[in-house]
Amino acid sequence: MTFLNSKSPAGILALILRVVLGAVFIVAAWMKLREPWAMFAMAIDSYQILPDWAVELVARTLPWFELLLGVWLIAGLWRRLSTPVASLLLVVFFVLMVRAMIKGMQIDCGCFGPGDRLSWVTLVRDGAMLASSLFVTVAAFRTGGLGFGHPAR
Amino acid sequence: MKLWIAAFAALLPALAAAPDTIHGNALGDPHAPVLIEVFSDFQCPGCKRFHDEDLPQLVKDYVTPGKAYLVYRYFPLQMHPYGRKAAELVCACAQLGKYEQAADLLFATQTAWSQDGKLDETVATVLTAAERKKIPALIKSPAVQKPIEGDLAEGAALGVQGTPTVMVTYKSKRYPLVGQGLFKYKWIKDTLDDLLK
Repeated sequence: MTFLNSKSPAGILALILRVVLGAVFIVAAWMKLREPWAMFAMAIDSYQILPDWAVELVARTLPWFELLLGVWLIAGLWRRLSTPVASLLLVVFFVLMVRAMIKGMQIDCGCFGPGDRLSWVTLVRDGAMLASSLFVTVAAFRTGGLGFGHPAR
Repeated sequence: MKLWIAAFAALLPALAAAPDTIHGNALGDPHAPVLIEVFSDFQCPGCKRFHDEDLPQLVKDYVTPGKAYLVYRYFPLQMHPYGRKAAELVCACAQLGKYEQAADLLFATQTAWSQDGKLDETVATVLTAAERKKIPALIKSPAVQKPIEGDLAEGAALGVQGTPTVMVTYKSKRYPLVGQGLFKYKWIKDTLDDLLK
């Protein structure tokens, strides 16, 4: 329960953002897992980046990974590992979305299950998540474990 | 008894129009567990590919065995100059019971009429002389305009932005299948099998 020691405003904000990010990952995973996996495969395929076998692999495994990552972020264990992983994942999502927007692709974002069209709204939403994740990542590295104010040794 | 028959006959047109604006542009059992709606534009190359390659498989695997009810939704895009006219012609043919012949022909000859615009001449080949005479009036009638406007409005309400867009409805829940015009039948099949298991 060491994260409770972080009492600076930035530390509290980092804690809140980490828990919110974890919850968002869990919700995103649940919304994909409750639908047929092939629908997510079609959403991934519409980005036109991966070959079919890779699309199927990602469609079957990514929701479970998001679920685990969400639980991991909320649990607060090994944050110097969990937060960069979340940030890296969100960077990948963000870059793919920007690429699709630039190419004028009218596709589903694939972020929160079927019917979530890619738009400036989804881009801003993902960008906000990425910014939050980067903040949480910096916070994890600037402290002994949990908030700002306790420089890592 | 006569009164009952007269009342039933009077109700028939209302019953036909009540559930939808479907007339000839549907295939299969309306009570099938899955409803598949295809929002399509006759001038769209992706729609042609879907019609030629995926639709026959879909019909064979799900519509014919009674697992799905297939409905074609008229969704002519503004970017296609002949899309609307093609939809009107096919819808008029549907009123004459020739939806399938007209739709198949327009997709088969899409490249040609997309360039020369000779839609009337193309569609005329599947019609008798008497049917041909009915087409101009039919096109202007609500029987043709209403289904097209209805499908366009429904598509807009559902967020359909491009064609082909396939909507699968199962147990009152609608699932949009997306593919940027590059549907892969195996994933449509996996989705339907997953829903039906």
